[in-house]
Amino acid sequence: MKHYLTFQDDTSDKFWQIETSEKSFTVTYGRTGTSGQSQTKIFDSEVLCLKESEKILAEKRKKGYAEDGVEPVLVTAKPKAKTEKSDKPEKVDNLAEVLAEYDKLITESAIDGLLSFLQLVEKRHYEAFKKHIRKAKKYWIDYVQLVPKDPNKPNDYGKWGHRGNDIQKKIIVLSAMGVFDKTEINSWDEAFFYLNNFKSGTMIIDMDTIPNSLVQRLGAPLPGNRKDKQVFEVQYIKNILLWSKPSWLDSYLLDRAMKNDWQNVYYINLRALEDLDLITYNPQLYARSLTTFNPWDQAQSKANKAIDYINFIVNNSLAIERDLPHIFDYETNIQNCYGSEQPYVWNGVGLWEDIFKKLLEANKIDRKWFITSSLQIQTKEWNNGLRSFFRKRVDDAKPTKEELVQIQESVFPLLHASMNQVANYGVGLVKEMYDTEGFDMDIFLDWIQPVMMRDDCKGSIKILLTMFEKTCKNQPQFQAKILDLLADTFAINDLTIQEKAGKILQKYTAKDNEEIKEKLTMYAPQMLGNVRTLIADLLTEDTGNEEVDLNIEYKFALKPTPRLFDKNLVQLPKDWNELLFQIGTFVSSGNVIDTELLLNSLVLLQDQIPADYQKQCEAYKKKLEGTYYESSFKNYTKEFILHWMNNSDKKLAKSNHYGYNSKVLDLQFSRLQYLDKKIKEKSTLPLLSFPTHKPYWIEPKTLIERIIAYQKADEKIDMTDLAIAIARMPRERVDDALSLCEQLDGNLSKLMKFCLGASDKIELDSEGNFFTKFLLGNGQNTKESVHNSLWALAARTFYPDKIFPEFGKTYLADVPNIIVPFAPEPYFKEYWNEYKNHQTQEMERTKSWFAIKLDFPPFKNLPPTLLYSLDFFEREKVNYFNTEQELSLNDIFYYYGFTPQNQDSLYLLILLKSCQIADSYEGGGRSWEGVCKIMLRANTVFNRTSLLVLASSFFQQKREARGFAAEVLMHHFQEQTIEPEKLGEQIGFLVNNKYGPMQRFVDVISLVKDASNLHNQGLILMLNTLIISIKDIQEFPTNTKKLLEIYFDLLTKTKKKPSPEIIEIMTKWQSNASLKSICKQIAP
Amino acid sequence: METADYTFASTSTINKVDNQNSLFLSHQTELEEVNNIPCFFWGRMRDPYLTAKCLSTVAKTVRSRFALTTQELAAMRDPIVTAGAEQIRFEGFSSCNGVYARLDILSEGLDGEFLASGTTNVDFNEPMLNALNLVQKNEEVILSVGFDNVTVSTSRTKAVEKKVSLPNRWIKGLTSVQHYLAEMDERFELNKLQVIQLFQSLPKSTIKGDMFIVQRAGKFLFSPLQSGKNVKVGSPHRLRVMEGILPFITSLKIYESEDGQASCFVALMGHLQMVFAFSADAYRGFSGEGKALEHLIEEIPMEWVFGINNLFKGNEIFNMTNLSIENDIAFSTMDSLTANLASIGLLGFDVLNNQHFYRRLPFKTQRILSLNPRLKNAKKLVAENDIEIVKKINNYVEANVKGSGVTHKIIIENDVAKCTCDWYTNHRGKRGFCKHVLAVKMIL
Repeated sequence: MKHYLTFQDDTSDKFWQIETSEKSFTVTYGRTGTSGQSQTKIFDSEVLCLKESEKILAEKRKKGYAEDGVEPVLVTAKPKAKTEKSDKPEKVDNLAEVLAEYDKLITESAIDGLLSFLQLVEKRHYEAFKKHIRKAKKYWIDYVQLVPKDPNKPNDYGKWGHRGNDIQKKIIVLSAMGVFDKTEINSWDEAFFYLNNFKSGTMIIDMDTIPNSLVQRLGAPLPGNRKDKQVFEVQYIKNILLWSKPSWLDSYLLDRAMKNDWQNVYYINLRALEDLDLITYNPQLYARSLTTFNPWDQAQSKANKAIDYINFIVNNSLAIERDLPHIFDYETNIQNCYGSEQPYVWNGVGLWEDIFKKLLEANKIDRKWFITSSLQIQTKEWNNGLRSFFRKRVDDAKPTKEELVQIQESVFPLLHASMNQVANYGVGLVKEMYDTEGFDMDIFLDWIQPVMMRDDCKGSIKILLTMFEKTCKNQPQFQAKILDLLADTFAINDLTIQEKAGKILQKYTAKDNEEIKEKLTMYAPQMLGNVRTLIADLLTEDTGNEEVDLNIEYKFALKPTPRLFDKNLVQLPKDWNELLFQIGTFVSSGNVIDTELLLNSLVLLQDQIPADYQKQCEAYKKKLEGTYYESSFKNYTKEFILHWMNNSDKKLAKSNHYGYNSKVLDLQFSRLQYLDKKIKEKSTLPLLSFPTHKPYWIEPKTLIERIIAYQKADEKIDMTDLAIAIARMPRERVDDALSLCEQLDGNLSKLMKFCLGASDKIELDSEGNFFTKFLLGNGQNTKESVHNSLWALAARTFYPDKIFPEFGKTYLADVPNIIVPFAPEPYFKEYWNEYKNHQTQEMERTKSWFAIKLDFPPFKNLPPTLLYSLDFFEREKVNYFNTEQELSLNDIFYYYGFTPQNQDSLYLLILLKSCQIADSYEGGGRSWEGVCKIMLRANTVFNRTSLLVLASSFFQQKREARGFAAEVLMHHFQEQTIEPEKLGEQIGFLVNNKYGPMQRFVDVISLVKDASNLHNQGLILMLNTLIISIKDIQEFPTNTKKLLEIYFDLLTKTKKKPSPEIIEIMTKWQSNASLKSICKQIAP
Repeated sequence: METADYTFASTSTINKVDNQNSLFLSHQTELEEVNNIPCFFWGRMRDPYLTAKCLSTVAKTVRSRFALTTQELAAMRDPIVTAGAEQIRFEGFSSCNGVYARLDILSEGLDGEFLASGTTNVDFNEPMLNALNLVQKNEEVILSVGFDNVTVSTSRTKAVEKKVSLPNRWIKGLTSVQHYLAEMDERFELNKLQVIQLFQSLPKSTIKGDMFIVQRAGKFLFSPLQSGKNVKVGSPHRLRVMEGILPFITSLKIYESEDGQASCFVALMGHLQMVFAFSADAYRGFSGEGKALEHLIEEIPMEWVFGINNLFKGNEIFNMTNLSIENDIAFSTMDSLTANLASIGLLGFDVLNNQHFYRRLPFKTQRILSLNPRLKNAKKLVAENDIEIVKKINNYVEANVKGSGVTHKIIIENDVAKCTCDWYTNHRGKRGFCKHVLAVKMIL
């Protein structure tokens, strides 16, 4: 096999040759006229060799290399090449000529010469010609920078635009339409617009782009044009397509339509193409086009009348008989087909609503077929709006009972639809016809089973219960099947349904019907309220009724657990390899300890770091540079690691602003600056705050030892480091530490003894001289404040609830959380936004909303050691909803890691940042996982703030938030470590202020209910105070009834009686019609 | 070979005469020898109503997509069927490759004749499925897997040629899911009521991220919090494909792979059982072949693979021990062999009985062999000499491997492998070795 190919364009003229011989082939390539270079490749077999050579040959052809079959006889000497080439000048030059002529066509905007030109291009030149067209598109059509920007002018971006005018653009696109094949044309969106004006045969020319010299040649525009764009009647598209007869039109158009709804070709154009025999019939494409209507005719610059289109379809038998049935086979956008005039405007009468109506009236489509087809598509996984459109059409057709019975087999599959609206619709149709003659009750009862257990079809089940009650009475032969179905309704958590099903079962079930009894017994744990009593004789005694110890009472008590466990000892990386992979661990981990481990290893293993560490870290560096973390803490750390990898001499600087508005999280940055300094000074003493036990604890003895080491080395201590270390040090294993305290400097010794609980005397100092000897200050703070603020931090760490009047005379007196625990009273505040209405020039208000508000003192610069005070200052309005940006998931853990013994300030910050409103804006609500996870940690103490945070999580729009909240409740009820009554009060505070929908809260307690008797007791205590705190509510939230149903069920299950106060409230609430029956049940 | 394309010569149909339905399944594959088999099974279904519901569920699964954009067509995909050893299994994948469904009709569920054994693609078309839905409890249904074209050509349904394209990743899913299934452990077994309660706690909306099946008192429910004994299910809204058969489940077994990267649900319904496997989340298919890579390093001669094809019939239990004794293959090689066989589509796995079964996927072997890109990439690293062994002592290997623009450091110590590449950093070995580690292991 031997092939010789050539390639020519503006810049190159080259050849490529392949020659195979048995198991090898040789490729020769180079500039035409030279001998070129050659390469030989050898294969295992001849077949393989041939296959491979054909493959690369095909690639070359695809690239535009053309094969003219003749290889020039080459003489190696260069000068002669030209002469040799001229042996076959005609063909080679011919291609060049063709391309040159094409370029001329474009340059001169000679669109009228295009067709005759195309007809002359020989097929053998097509590859090169197609390539040329693509190049032309790039040059003339693409939006490019025409004039480069002036480097001297800062705001100059150069000039951007298209090189070609509108006619040149059309020449190029039309050429592509003429010669391209299916795959080649696919990326050319431009062709769509031409095809979609096919019927009118008109073209819009953007006159702004056309030079005056050309205008005359174009002739007169059609009347009624817009000023800027003129429309001409031209036959170019039609003629070119008639000549080229492309086979890709249907697949191309369908491809557009599937990609974008607005790229559905209009039906009239499709039919026009069809009339000229240009398009293959494609049912899907026709279905989509038929259901697309454009109210605005761009070419004619006028409105298309919807009514015209309707009349066209209604009177076109081909459209009705051939194309319309496919609307039921393929997904279309028929439900959004509207016009621009009344009554066909958006949300008015849809075009197809009217078309179907007219067709049915005129008997042009079969009524039964239409209804059946509309029903059949309901079980397809099509767009919901589309399916709903056809349900409405069935409603419009108003099928009679008799008609429905005739098509009942098409109705039944709806009952199995996954979308509940469809299943409900099916039930609705059955309701219409079930008592009509011919209705096959037997088959229906087979179909309906899955609906009986669907908790998203409660409305339907209620309808079915009424139907079943009647049927049991009138057609006793179906009783057995119906009773079996009724038993399944106990899968639904709904008192009304269960009561009604119970009544029917009670009435019709024979006492020896063991099958039903068995089924009901299985469902017994699901039964609500007094349903179990109602049908007691239908339940077998032995199972399902496991005895619960009703004597257990919920008793709140904290359960302190130790923090230091030997199994949690922190292991430092032992060598450089482990340190290297610790970077990788840090990259993907959200654990506090992984960051701490990495940072401290960088200090402690300084001597192990190899000289080529930068090279070894390359992969991590690249990864970190490309990673942005949601956590500000992690982003700060990332910057530092990169700084270290770059081995920079500079001081670590905040290169990015990760503004999360938390001064405590910002402390990480100052820690990192300190770390950077330590490494540069080759200090190998560990950070005081480096945990000894996972996840963030420091054993007292180790902390004292570290401080002593700093003293001995005469290295100054960073006060933030010391503050965090104290916050992380639990009062455990204190004896070893206390004996070491004597080695500390007097003032430090006093402070540490206080921390360890050996002394409760706070030693304030107005001078603060002692500490300056040891501490690195940050200049902004007075000596006094440094000294006293460390004492304040220690005091609040170990005594979260105590009052410390000692600080009353200091600079810190009015700082939050110093003298008394900081607990501002939350209240609801009305918010709204104002904007200027540009028509009336007046200020208008948006609808107002209510959000939880906390009053904080104005901002004051504080020493960084005050971990529990730094974040409490009045902030400016931050965004539209006036809500703060929430803390990211991991930042909550990192924050907690700074203040693990007193989380009150963290919860207060969360209350401010995550709880203001229940329906957070798009993307919000991600912090709840973190919030609930920290609530699940050991030693969690709930106070007013954290209880309110938990209460508000019950009402969050984010489903996950509620799921987590249910887990928190379940855990702390189990442990009895939360006070249900106090939680109930906080929930009441939110309900009274319409914080969020009641249903959300009901969902949460449904999850917790029946986990155990203890849980049920806890829920009752919680609901008691909730009901009491909302007793005077003016407007009952929707679903208050459900809340009371659960309350009633809990009372029944725990065999408790409501308190007199509750009875009084229930009696009062009976005046509300919807609550009447349930209130009566609770307090008979 | 990006997709496997084939055209069904005829259409599957369901015909009703008096009170008897006949379900004719049309089949087609890339493999000529399988195509030539006219019919695999012909007989009565013992529980046609329930079987119809299960078949609809399989069809629903293969037609669903959970992660693809709307632009990607919900392509018409069909399940594959294996007949043999007195059983029929239908299996298939969702378009997004994250959900695997399989229906096993056990021998007690069938009353008929197995005419041939083998695996093939069957046509599941809309009219047939609609008709299947209409099968009543008291009706009879004859099932015919494959049929002589002539017999049904008289049916009133117009036979339209149906083209099917199965993308390679779909086929690859069929091979990869077996590795996951093979190392699953049973976590929970739920009774009927617990199944209903579990599904009631499944949120209605699409769920990004993971939820955990946990037991609270006697109830099972989905929780966002991982605690105690639990099964992780990523994007659990995908479980809704099971809804159609929920009322019929007598018991549901829940499995989880050791690494928590996949979960599996086996619904028991008498003579029928359905297996559903779910990948770690909606955006991940079962296409990650990481599971088996280690075994695939050792190459198995192709003639063994073809030899095995002659030894086993479809659905037959694949007993490694017997095979190794009879054919004198070392036990140590058997793990590799099993992994290789599963990876090239010759073995399926039955979690319930914890055993492999033989079935040859109806696709060309070259196609299936081309499906392991990570292994291929590793081989390329070896071929291009991109690996530098820095140190090798006892149980310690240190190597540098060229990456894109950077050099990765690899340490293999006591069989624990670490690499500085993104794959290892992100997955910590949970999803198999990265190509760098694989390459190093190859040259050791």
